[in-house]
Amino acid sequence: MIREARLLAGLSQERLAERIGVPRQSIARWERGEVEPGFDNVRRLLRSCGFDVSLVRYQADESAEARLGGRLELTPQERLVGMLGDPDTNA
Amino acid sequence: MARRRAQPRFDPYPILEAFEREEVSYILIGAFARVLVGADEITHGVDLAPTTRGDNLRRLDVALEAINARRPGRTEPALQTNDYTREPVVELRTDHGEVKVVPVPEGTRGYDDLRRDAERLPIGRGLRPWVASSRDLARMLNALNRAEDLEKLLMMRRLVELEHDFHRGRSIER
Repeated sequence: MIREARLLAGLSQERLAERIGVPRQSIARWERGEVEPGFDNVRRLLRSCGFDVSLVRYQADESAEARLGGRLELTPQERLVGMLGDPDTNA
Repeated sequence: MARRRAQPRFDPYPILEAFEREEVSYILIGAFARVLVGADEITHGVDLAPTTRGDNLRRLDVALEAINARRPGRTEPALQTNDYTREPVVELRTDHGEVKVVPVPEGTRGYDDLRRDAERLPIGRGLRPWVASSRDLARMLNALNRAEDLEKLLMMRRLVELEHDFHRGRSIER
């Protein structure tokens, strides 16, 4: 999400780091997911890119979550064959 | 009464094989790419971001001709001479399903931008197309800013998180 916001704002990692007063390496680590930035930092980062955080309440669909996790275990070919293989949805 | 031509059954393999034969450089994007990286979606077409360098678009024209690609008005794709500032997305029908050609997808700077994080994914029949990363696929959906894509966007973001945990888990196992 941080990388996405930064790229949409057209900022380099250096420029974003300057804006919020952290080393460029911190931005890089947050973007790679090596270090958790914490909510306050996420908010500062997003605001520096011209965005903000809003809370949207929605019902978590645990079966969808499990399905998604299961799909990661498949190969790309298996995922594709799974989609193409259903004649009712691919007429 | 004029008869409408039946929609062909979607089969991405002949489409991608045609691109392979002509050595077209492209990155798969859109719903088809999202399915390959793990999204739970259904699509009837292939979307791609080709490089506009060299004679790549001419090669893409040749590949598309081989699978009878036509614009909705039954005209030829003519991608090499298309004005992408006026028509950023070229939608085509082929003998094997729909093809969308998008040299600069929303939220990106095009092929070179997407290529950095793209991966070659094996999909069978010896094909290993370049596919945009989950993060970039989410970025494109976000930039399109369409209400109907919200669920897909949430799913892609969750997929990025799960992918991260999945790979981290694997590296810890090693």
